[in-house]
Amino acid sequence: MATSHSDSETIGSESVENVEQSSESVEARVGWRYTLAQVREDPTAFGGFLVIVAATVVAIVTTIDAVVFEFLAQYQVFAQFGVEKYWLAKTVWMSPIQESADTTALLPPVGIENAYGQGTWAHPLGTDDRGRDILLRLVYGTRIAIMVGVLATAIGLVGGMLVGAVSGYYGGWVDDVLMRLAETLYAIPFLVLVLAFIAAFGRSITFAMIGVGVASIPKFARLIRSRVVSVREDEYVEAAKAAGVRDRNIILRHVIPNSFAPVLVQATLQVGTAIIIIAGLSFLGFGIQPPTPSWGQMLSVSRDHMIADPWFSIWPGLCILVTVVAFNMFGDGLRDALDPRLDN
Amino acid sequence: MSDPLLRVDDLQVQFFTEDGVVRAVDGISFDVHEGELVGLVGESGAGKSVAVSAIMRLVESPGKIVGGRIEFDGETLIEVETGPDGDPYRTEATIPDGELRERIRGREIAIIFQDPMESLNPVFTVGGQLREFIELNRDLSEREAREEAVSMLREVGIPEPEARYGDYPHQFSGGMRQRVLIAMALACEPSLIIADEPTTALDVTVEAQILDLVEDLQDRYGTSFVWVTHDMGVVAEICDRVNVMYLGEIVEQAPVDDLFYETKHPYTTALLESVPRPDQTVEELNPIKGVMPEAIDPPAGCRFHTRCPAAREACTTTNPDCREVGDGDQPHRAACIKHDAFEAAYNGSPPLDAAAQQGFDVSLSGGETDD
Amino acid sequence: MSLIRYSTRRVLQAIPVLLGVVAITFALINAAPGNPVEIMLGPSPNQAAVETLKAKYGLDQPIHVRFWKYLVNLVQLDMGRSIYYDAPVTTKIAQRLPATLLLMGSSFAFAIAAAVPLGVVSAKRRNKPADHLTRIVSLVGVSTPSFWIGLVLIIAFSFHLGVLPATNLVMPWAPPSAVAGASTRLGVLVVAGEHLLLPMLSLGTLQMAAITRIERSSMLEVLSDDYVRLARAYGVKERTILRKHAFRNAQLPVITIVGLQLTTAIGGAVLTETVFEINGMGRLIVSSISRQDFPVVMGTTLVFAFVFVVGVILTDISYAYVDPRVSYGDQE
Repeated sequence: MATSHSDSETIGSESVENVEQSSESVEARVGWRYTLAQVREDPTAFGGFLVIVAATVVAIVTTIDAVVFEFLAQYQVFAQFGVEKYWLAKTVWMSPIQESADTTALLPPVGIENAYGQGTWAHPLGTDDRGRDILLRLVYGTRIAIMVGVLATAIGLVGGMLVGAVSGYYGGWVDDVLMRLAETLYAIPFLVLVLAFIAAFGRSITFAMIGVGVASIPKFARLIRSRVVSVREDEYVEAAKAAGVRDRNIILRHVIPNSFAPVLVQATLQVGTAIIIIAGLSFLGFGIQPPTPSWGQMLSVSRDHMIADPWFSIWPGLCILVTVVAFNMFGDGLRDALDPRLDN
Repeated sequence: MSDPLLRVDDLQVQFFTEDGVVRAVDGISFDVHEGELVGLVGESGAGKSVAVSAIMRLVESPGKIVGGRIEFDGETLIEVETGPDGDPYRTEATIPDGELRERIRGREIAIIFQDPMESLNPVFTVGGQLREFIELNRDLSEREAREEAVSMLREVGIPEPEARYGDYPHQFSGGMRQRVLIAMALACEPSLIIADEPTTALDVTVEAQILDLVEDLQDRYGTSFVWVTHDMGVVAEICDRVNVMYLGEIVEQAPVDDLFYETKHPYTTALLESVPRPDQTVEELNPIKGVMPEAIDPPAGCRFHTRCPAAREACTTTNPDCREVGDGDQPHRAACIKHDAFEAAYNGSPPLDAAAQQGFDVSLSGGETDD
Repeated sequence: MSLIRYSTRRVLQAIPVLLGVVAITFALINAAPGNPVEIMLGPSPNQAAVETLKAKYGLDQPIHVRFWKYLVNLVQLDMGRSIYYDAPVTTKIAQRLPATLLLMGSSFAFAIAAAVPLGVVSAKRRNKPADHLTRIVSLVGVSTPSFWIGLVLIIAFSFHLGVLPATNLVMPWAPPSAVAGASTRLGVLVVAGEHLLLPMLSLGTLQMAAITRIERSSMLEVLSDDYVRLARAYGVKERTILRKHAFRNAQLPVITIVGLQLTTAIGGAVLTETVFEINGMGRLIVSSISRQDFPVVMGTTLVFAFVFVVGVILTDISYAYVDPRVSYGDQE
């Protein structure tokens, strides 16, 4: 029994592969290298891509550094050599190490003078209210922004794919119920929904991330569902079904890969949105908790010192701007590259 | 013969794309006399639509009219010459934009586009759009234009025109919409109507009705037509004279009967033979072998030689212009060197194996070797 | 005629969605680990006191009973009592709602007024400098966090130039006696405008940028449609084509985007209120979360969702107004 079933499955898959070659929906697969080449030609999209890569590299490097730091701290290496020797610790992590309630530590960037003194090259962008170097904190903030943005989007994407694929493929009451649910979730404004989520589960960054992810599920689900519905009608899926291929396999191996293109575009743009929302949450005090550096939280702190050192408010926002612009440019470029209409 | 109403002389239109220059229309000449219905026939991509949109300077970028002259009723609609630096420019004889818009477009010449689904603005009522064009082109008041619009709708056979006046395009079927577009064209009382494949998007029964309508209206109003199509059956039914286009050039030009019974160009012959007849079986179908090449890189010599069953080596070196080859009392031109009017050494030249040149052979006709 | 029928249908469709929203929010809030009562009373409270408070807030009953009770109360416009303020939730919301609506309404008006002409001009002058500039500005606009724009505006205009106030909104209908620096009704309007300008710009910029982008691309698409070509062929002036034939059709995707933008706009309103210390619903929900004042959190979430749904319905109706295909349906 088992053998013959798997035999027919193999045979079925083979014949489906053949039928696939002549199906129109295969355009999504055929284009990968071509798509990337097109993106490379588009200057804004490529620029965005480079910035994203740079930010990711920074995020990875800083994560490794943070892990190393905690590892060393755990094993009380610092007790021996003194934390001051670990150069990054002194400037980034601070709280248990250098408590400074004295806000005269607030220095402006190089070449500018404020109530607390002149900026110096030791701290090119100045220091914050606790004497920590702003530039380094911004760099470390990249780690949080990218990681959380990507993870939150990933949650939404995976959740949305599951819901959308099942809903689109099976139709019927499953579809109705799931789409009703999605519509209801969608009826609560995004930030408000995330806030309610945080209110229920707690103020940590984990819940903020999960909240943003869950709140973005309806959008992805709808997108995937509409693609699945149109792909489902395609001939090669019918052929696969007729050949006895299991539903799960059809969804995984045929339906989802062919629905991928617009989803990728949406995911890229969604990362940008997630970064802004998470920054907003940190700004409100609900996301990243100090002393971990995050751009939103830095902006929140800067509010108290807007008169004394306005520059403090500028940099973190610029970082968010540049990062999100990069994601948007890249996402737009992807969309243009994947749009078949634009050829010719 | 009296002067033609419309004369197109050596028209050239090119598209400047990223991939290169597409020579969509590469020197065509034809004319239309009063009361005539002249056909412009050819496969998709031959350049027919581009050619007729050039008449009213409706070619959109990246396309540009780069040469030739179009005269209408004594006025020069466009004349383009090449300057000493090689750049084409419009001569002073060309009427200015404003005059073209006010006096010619809609008033003297009207156009009917191919897709009735897309040609009507979906957010305005059908009657309103009709009325607007009538008001604009016939200098009538709003009320008068409305009356005209309603009566025109009735003319083209739309039932309950008064009620339908306030309906939106999506409430009409395809055939009805095309009738509305015909109404638009006729209501402005132009001397010439350009119809760009108006029945292609309709099914056969509806098409027959539209053709009857057009013939009837032509009898009544005496309007001249330029009729673009790829359907030889339509040509046979309504055209007085025909121009056959291939890859941006006119390859044969003749009165309709002469075209069908004394065909002078191999392409026209192939077109005629490819029309399926009810008494043919699938095996007996005779499509033209291969596909039309891209206009961006046309074949050397005669552009049809790659698919021509009568091609010879001489055809690869000379690109014939369209010359008088007929013997009747009416002009009959063709662009094929096998005729005596050309002095190319056609007869002495060895034949080409055309089937091996291009693409795939989809015909199952007997007597051909499948390779 | 059909428009009214369509509108009624949309409103009726919204009711089950709103019910669903109440259900989901209720489930979410009540999934909260930790007991608000224990939080109020502090660590290791007296068991008896806990029970009394629980009974007072109805927390001792099973969840479906509580939900049903909530629903019943909700229909009578009773959302419970705020734990922190010890006042009815509806009262607090009613106090705060006008400011939020004023902020959102004005920023939306600003966004549309600026974006539509900008998008149209940008489309008309495609690939010319004006177009490129607009595209860059709108790309940056959608990528900028609105609260940061608020901070920068405050720094520039309130602190450096000292021309505009940094906090609070003044209601335009407030009596002069209640408004500092105003002695007449007109004076009140001026002061209200001064207070409103920065928050409005701060919140509206993102919306404006998004609408500009879609307006431009929509216009470009419509300008290459067949019916535009036809109008040109019949001698219609280019200006008329732009203004009449193309414009109306181009607004359709724009209206759709505006509807989708509302969710971002509401989020932005919450943040903008925080930056400018405006006493609107945004600040209310944020502070209530910090204080774990769940009835208020629940109530404000519901009101936000309600405002959003109403907004979406209004955009749908506007769309149907412009596009006759929606309300008249296909009659082929």
